[in-house]
Amino acid sequence: MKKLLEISLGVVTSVGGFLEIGSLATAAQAGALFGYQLIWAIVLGTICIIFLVEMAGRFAAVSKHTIADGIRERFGFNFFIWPFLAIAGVNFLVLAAEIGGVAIALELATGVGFQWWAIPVSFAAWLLLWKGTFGLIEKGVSFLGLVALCFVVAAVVLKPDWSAIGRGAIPSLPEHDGSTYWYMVVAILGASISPYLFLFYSSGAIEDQWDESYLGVNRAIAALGMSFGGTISIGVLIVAAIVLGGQGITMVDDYHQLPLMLTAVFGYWGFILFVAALGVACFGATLELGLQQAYLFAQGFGWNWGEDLKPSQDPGFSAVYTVTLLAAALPIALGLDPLQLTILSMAVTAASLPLSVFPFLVLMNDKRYLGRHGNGTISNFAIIAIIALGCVLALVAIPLQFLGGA
Amino acid sequence: MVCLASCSNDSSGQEEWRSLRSSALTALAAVEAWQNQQAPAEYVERTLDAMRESVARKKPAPVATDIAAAILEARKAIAEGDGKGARSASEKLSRDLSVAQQAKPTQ
Repeated sequence: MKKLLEISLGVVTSVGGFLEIGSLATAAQAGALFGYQLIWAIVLGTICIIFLVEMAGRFAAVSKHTIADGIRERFGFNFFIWPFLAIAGVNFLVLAAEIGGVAIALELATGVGFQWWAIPVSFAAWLLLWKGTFGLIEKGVSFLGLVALCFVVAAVVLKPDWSAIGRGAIPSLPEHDGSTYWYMVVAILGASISPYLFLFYSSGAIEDQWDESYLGVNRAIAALGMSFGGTISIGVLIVAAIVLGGQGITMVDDYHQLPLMLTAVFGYWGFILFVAALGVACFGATLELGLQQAYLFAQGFGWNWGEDLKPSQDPGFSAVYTVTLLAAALPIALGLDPLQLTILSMAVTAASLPLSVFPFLVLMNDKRYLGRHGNGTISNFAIIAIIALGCVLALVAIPLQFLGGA
Repeated sequence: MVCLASCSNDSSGQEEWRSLRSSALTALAAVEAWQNQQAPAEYVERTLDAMRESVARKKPAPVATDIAAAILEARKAIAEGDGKGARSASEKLSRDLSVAQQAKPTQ
């Protein structure tokens, strides 16, 4: 019964934590321009993240190491510094984009420009990390994040063509706008397979003191939580396809367009639900990214760490999230468009995947860490496919980003 | 999202047209949401401002200028709480969009 409760909590946490500004934005644009045709990219991204999250939890539960800790110990600091720099850079960009997402929600709610909200949002996140516990942050905000399920409800209410949705889940060649189509695939995968998700998950497993008895729980949470999360992204895509695409709004290049997805379904409540979903989802991601950055530094440099410790007990850990949150708020406070930043962060995320995933694969096959719980053939194949995917993403996304002149 | 479409290498004329049409249709949808009391006036006004700025940067300039003017008219009507004026501006916007449709680039 206790395990069932933990699975439920874990699934809720995963669902609540899945949707953030990157997945929301890419799903909305994909649906508006290509209808249901890109559902398969979300499905593929979700499968990838299920494998990575399951491995991250298994590694932590069996070896009692986080991924960052394991990479540093196994390969030495001189190697660790490269994935460390890549992941820290990506985390910073995504964190800035998430702060921007909360700031947009607050602008929509109050009418005060988003740049004015960046520093207050950052301060609120810092205060919660400083005063709060891991349980409060992990579960409290994620429970609130369930408001994002309104996109799934909206998708059902709109009575979509389910057979067309089924066809969209199968990879297909573009019917129009070929280069845009492939860039969208890259963007969706970059948004789905964020390194911070599985790195944070491994740190969380250590914070929650998982051991081998949690392997079943871990498997269930990874599969169910990420699947439900992917379902929300698909919900966003379906709503965008019907509401925005249906009205001829095929280019979603301004955040003011987004609330119209839900007002068309729920009226005024749709506006409120959109603001709540965007604000809570991005605030949850802000907290997780702030924490993840602190975990990365503390685990990488061998400092004390733990969200449940007092700041005086882990000063380096607390200093990292303090400085990171403040610094990440600055681009938004200076007026940088959060959605432009989202695109850049997704491309860089895609580029960094091989650096974070390859050493993780070696760890997952090292019997000194995992004993008989090491990766099987399917897991190895999945993670190698993810690395290959990451390389392709990096090769495609960055040139498109710069040549296209976003 | 953001300029995902415009980041790619599709014909720039088509992209300009798609962006212009999407901005104009967003403006129409926002006005309709205000008329149906589905969204607060402040949000709708900001949306119209953003769409007008976006349209004003587009080519061909004369068509874009007309559409931007119609959006501004709708924005003023909403600021004054003038439902009739908003409807009239919205009808003008639809007409301007139809004109633009006829002048749109083809691949």
